[in-house]
Amino acid sequence: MSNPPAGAPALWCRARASRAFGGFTIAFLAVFLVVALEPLVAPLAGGWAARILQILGAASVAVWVGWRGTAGKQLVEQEVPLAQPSRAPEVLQNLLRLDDHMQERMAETTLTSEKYGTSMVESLTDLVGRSGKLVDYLAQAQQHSDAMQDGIESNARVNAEMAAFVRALPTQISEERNYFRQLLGEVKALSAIAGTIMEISKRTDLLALNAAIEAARVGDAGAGFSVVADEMRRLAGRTNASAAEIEQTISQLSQRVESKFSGEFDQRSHSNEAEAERLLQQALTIDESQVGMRQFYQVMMGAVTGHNTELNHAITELLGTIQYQDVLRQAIGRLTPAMTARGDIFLAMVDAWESQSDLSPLVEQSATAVSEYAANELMHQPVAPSAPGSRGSQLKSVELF
Amino acid sequence: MKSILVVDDSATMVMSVKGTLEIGGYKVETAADGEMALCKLKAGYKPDLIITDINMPKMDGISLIREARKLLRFTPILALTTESQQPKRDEAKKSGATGWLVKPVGGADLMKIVKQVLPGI
Repeated sequence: MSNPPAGAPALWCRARASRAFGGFTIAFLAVFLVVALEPLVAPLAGGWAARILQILGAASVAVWVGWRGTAGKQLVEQEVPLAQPSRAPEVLQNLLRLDDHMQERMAETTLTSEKYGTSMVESLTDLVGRSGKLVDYLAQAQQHSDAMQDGIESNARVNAEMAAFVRALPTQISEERNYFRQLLGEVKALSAIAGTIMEISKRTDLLALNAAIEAARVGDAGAGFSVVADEMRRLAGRTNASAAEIEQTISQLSQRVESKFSGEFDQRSHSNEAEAERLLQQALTIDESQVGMRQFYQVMMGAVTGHNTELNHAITELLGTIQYQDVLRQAIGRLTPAMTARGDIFLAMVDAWESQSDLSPLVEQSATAVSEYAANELMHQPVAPSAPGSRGSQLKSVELF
Repeated sequence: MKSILVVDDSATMVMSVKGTLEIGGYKVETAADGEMALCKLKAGYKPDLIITDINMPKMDGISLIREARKLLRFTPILALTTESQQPKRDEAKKSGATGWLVKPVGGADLMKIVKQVLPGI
């Protein structure tokens, strides 16, 4: 009887126990039948019954021996590869180590998937919330815009009134210019009158000279002096008339100017001042409205820009989280060849058992599969700089050379 | 607007990095492997920055870095990969890489690094 191989020959032990149990059971039953049943059947059937029992017992022993030689032999043959000193346990232990590695990695991957999945859902929820706030804000802005539309229409009316006012100003200025031009003409007329007076004055001087000459002759002919005196009186009359005319003209001019300024011109001027004041107030109102509008749009743009920045930040973080899909893909990609190698080794073991070949190459192969998978995983070991002391903390996730 | 070439065989990664950089105001070109990226560079495309994966079909990231460095002497090249261990980093550094980023990299972190190696948008 062979000794169990080193390692963990549980299967070998089970086979041995099963075979021993079957043989001893049959032998025991045969002896039991011969010994225990013979006293019971002997009084009934006589010696032939005991003989039958002996035959049965012998047959049982024969069957057991036969089984030991045929069926038992077959069982022994089936167990040969297991019973032989084998390196199967080493192969199996390596494959179990590989399984442990893969299970550990799959567990990590599952946890990380859950973490990133949760993170993505949170990011999306945050995005939806921020988008909703932005939409609310834009809806408020829409309401403000509607209100401002009324203000803009009012402003347009004021602008139209201001335009009409300004448009009317040239006509008014033209009319006033004509008035002043006329006044200038009348002043020129006064200048002509002044010229007449000057002429009269010259003639008066001449006559005075003549009068002086004639006076020298007073003694001889006083009549000539009286002629000069008459002429001087006429000149004086003309001078008076001219003076009166000047006075009247100036008076008329004064009245016209007075009526112009105190009447129509004053009225128009006051009207214009009032209209200008009204339009100025409206213009100030428009200006205030525009300032308010500008402030509103500045606030709105600030809020929209802020929301947009937050949205961009949330989107970029979400995009960063999506990268885990590639990390997961590569982790699965590394699992696949390891599982393939594991399957190949199992198949090779079956072949080796059937052909009773040496399992040593499979021991090497399985050990290589384990070390390759472990080394490959080590190369892709997660780096978590945010958790000092954790696995891979000595390596940075970002390194600039 | 500065231009960045993103090289990765994962469509998800390309989408993630491209989206982040475009939000940040950069123009982004993409390639699905090192060979395709190198073709673009040889055709005259001169990005201001290259961000490349390491494990890719046809031509891996280390080879791309080595070849790209011959064409673009001063262009920063960042490796963005799941590989985290030092030997590979050293290999990339020797090939001419500017930095090493381990996936996944958050959007804000990525923008910070890009602005660091590519000042002035």
